[in-house]
Amino acid sequence: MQSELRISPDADFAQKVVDFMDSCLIGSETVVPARQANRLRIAADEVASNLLAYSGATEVLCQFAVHGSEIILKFSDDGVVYNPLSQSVSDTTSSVEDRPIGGLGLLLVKRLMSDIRYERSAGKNILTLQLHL
Amino acid sequence: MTITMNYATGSLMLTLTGRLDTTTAPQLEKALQENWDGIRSVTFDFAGIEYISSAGLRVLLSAQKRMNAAAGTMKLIHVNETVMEVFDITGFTDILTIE
Repeated sequence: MQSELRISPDADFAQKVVDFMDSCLIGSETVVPARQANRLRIAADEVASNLLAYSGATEVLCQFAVHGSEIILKFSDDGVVYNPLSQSVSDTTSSVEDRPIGGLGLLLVKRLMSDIRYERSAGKNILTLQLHL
Repeated sequence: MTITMNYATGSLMLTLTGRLDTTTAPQLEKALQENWDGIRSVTFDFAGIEYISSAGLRVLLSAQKRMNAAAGTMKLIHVNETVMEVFDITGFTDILTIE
């Protein structure tokens, strides 16, 4: 089962991506438990926000697929070369006053998903998230 | 996300329902900005919150910093497993008071 969403990122981009996730999760024949479903929603929200802020993409293709007990969520965008995996991850040990704001979203995606891969192909950033049910 | 606010002298309780993410975090930020004056104690009831993303964390961090600077108190109650997992991963369990 596969679903896709192809849109130009605008101010409502994160909302549209999460709405797309909701419809995929509701429509999935494989029942996705609430905890896993929410991990996917969080990851999708983070990736969408980052794409909007940093990629300069004019078009993003989101693809959702279930293969057995694996959920695959893929984001392909036509923005500048941007590999979220190579960005520095936020320091989680500093005090409130010193805590840097950035990087938390990517940290969450890395820790909530079972696997995450980036590739650059044919002028596109392709980020593939995988969650094992 | 719906935000219900209850006041007593110097204290504010916000009851949240829905999701605290990129789309809804600005709403919480605005509610806090409009209601901060004279508040020394703030409580967030998370019973109705399904999950939080980093946008929500930023609003909470900002609120915590503000309460710290004002020598006030801030706490979160009724946090579910998914939200707690996010707090654990990001180290926010050390920053926030979660009951």
